[in-house]
Order: sequence, then structure tokens, then C-alpha cells
Amino acid sequence: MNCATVRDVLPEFALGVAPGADTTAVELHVETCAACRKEAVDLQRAASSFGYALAGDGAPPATLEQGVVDAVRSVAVVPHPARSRGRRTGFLLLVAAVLVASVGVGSVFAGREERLRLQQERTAQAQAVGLQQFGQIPIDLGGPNTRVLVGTLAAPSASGTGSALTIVTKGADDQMVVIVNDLSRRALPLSVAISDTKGHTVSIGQIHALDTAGGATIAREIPTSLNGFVDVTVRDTRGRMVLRGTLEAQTAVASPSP
Amino acid sequence: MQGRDDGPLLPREEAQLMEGLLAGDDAAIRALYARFARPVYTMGLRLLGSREAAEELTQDVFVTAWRKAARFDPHRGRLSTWLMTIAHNQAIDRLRRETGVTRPKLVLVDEVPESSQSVDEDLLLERDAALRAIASLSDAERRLVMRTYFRGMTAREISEDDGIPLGTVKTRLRSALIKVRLANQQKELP
Repeated sequence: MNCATVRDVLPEFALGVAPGADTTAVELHVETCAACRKEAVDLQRAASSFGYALAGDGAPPATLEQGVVDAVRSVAVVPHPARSRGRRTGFLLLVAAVLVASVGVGSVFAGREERLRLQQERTAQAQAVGLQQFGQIPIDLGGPNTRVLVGTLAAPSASGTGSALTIVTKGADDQMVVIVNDLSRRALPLSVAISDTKGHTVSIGQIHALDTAGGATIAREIPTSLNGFVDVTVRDTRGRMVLRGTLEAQTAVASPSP
Repeated sequence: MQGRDDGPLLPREEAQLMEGLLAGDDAAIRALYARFARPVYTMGLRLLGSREAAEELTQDVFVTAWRKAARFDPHRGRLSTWLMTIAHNQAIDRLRRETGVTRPKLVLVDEVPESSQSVDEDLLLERDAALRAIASLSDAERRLVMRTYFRGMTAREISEDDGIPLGTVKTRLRSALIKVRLANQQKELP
């Protein structure tokens, strides 16, 4: 989506009624285009005036505050003493097992053969739906010090899709998994990196080969903390953007009953 | 800082509050709630039409804010706009899912009742500024924006309903938002 197309969608985007695919495309574009980002923020601010125009018309019940606090604290990472590395490894194995098991319910983190089939029939939008299912992973098994962030990767121009996941844990190495699909071998080698909002970047590694569906998986344990790192990029050998996306924290849910 | 509940927040303070939210800090969550729960709840009440739905929306907005906290950048926009955008998007998503059965009637700013004395002064200032900005619109522009913002109608739906070209609807929406934006900017001038 170029600037002219984005500007055409921005009023509906700001008013919250742009179609889903347009919204995703605009969000992707404004991450890299300062001019369109400023326009989007200005229009969103104008639109929020309509919400504030109603302010004061009714007060929330007194019990709601504690409900909100409890809801946020049930999903947030509350600091605890550092955990042992052995237990951390066990948790990662558990997460890996859950990811593999989730193939059957349509997860994008599927096995190689399954991904070949999925790649043919799924769009980036469907991937986003699949990623939502990660919210159902029993990540609380890793303890309250662990946060899982996931997101889809999209191509600014040519074909290609992908997904990424980070597992951020206080007191232990963090982990990142990136899966790409439908990419061209001409772009190899691909460099995968993740950045925070202050511009710091951590290199995750390189992809030197793609399968017949243009797919590859890269998984790394990162010795530095990935806390705050949410912008994932995949670039080709010339440094051109191939895929990019932003990770979001996923809600932890209770473990299934035994 | 987290207990401060008067005056606009500085970008640094907004960032600290969001860091506190991400960490599940009780004081940060309550400070954010004190500042933003009321406008979010009110929006839910007016758009969704029931107290129960408004309470659910408010709770969902704060959980979503936690989930997206790492993406908030105080140097790209105000926290109030960011939270109200989350609230509005969630309310509109719900409205559109509910196929109009429980849709409230079209809300016009003119119909907003007089404020009660219990409303926070900051919130009243925000509200008055918003009303002044919206007053810069013509009746036609105001109704057009209200149909999108409060009823979740897309430009295409309005175009089909009114029998006017899609491009014209988009241009009018853009023009209306720019007018409100200019009015907001004039408000901020010393």
C-alpha cells in the first residue's frame, strides 16, 4: 500500500471503521512512513474528540476498578525472584510441545509438511486468526515471570507471509521463533532481526535455505533480554525489507484441568 | 507520580504508567483507571447501550492496553487518544457483530446531557474542548461522522444508503476530521 492509498483509507482508519485488511495494511505502512503516521495520529486524535464529547454521561460502578485491576494483574508479568535455568528449559520444551500439538487446530507454527498445505490455502489474515489461538496456550506454566509475544509478518510489496513469537522471561535467556512462508530463493540469504521502540536492534540470525513452499523456520535462544523488542524484520541480501511485523503480548490463561 | 491525578500527563509520565501497567503494578493500573475509565465507560454506555456491556468494554480495554503496551510510544501520540482508539475500535467491533439488534439510536452531540457535579474537572475540560471542536462542523458533517463513529458505518455503507459516490463520502469524512483537528490545534495555542 503506497502513501496515496493509505491517505485514502486514513479517515475510516481513524474512525475505526476501515475494513480489516486495510487496517492491517495501514498499520504496517505507518510503522515506516513518518508522514502518514503523523496524519494517522492527528486524525485519530480528532476522532477521539467524539468519544470525549460524551464524557461525564454516567459513572462506572465502584466495583469496576477492582475488577479491572484483577483482570490486568491476572495477565501481567508480576516480578518474582529469578528462576532456575533447568526449570526454564523444561518450560520451553513444554511450549514447543504445545506449539507442535496446535497444528491440529490450525496453528501457523505447524510442522513442515503441514505448513506446505497451509501455505496454499491461508492468507495473512487467516494467520492472524491462528495466532490468536496462542492466547490459549497455558503459558502460565512457565510462571508469572514469563511473557509470550506473537505477531504476523507481512510483505510490504511482493508475496510472503510469516509469524514470530518471543518468550521473554526474567532471570533466564529469552527465546524467539520465526517462521516464513512463500518467499523467493532469489532473496537469500535472509537476515532476521528484532528492534525495540528506541531503535535498538538484536540480530536473530540468517536464513540460508527455503523449502519448496518458500518456507523456513528459525529458532534461537537469545542471551540478551528481548523485553520491549517487538518490531520484527526480515531483509534480503541487499538490505531490502522482505517481511515485517509487530509482536503483541498474549493473554495467559489457566492451565487445563488434569 | 503514579498517584498524580490532575493536569495532563507528560510523555515521560505516560511511559512510566504504561511500564507499570505492563508489569501489573497495582498503583499504575489504578492511576490509569482513575484517569481514563470514565470516558471509556461512558463511550461503552452510549455505543453499546447497557451498563453490563460498558463494564465489559472497560475491563477489555485495560487488558488490551496491557497486551499492546509495548507498542505504545508517547512521542507518537497521547495516551488518551491511544486508549480511546482502543476503546472505540472494540466497541465498534462489538456493535457490528451484534447486527444492529441492540444498536442504540444515533447519538448526537447535541443530545449529550449536562454534566453532573461529580465529574472530574480534567474530564470536563476534555469534554468541553471536544464539544467546541465538534461545533466547528456543519450539521451535515457532524451527522456524517456520527454515523461512522457512533454506529460503525463504513464509508461504503453510507455511500450506498445515501446514494452518493464513495469518494465523496471519504472526502467529506476527511474534511470533517481535519476541521476538528484544526480546532484542537487552535485550542492548544497559547
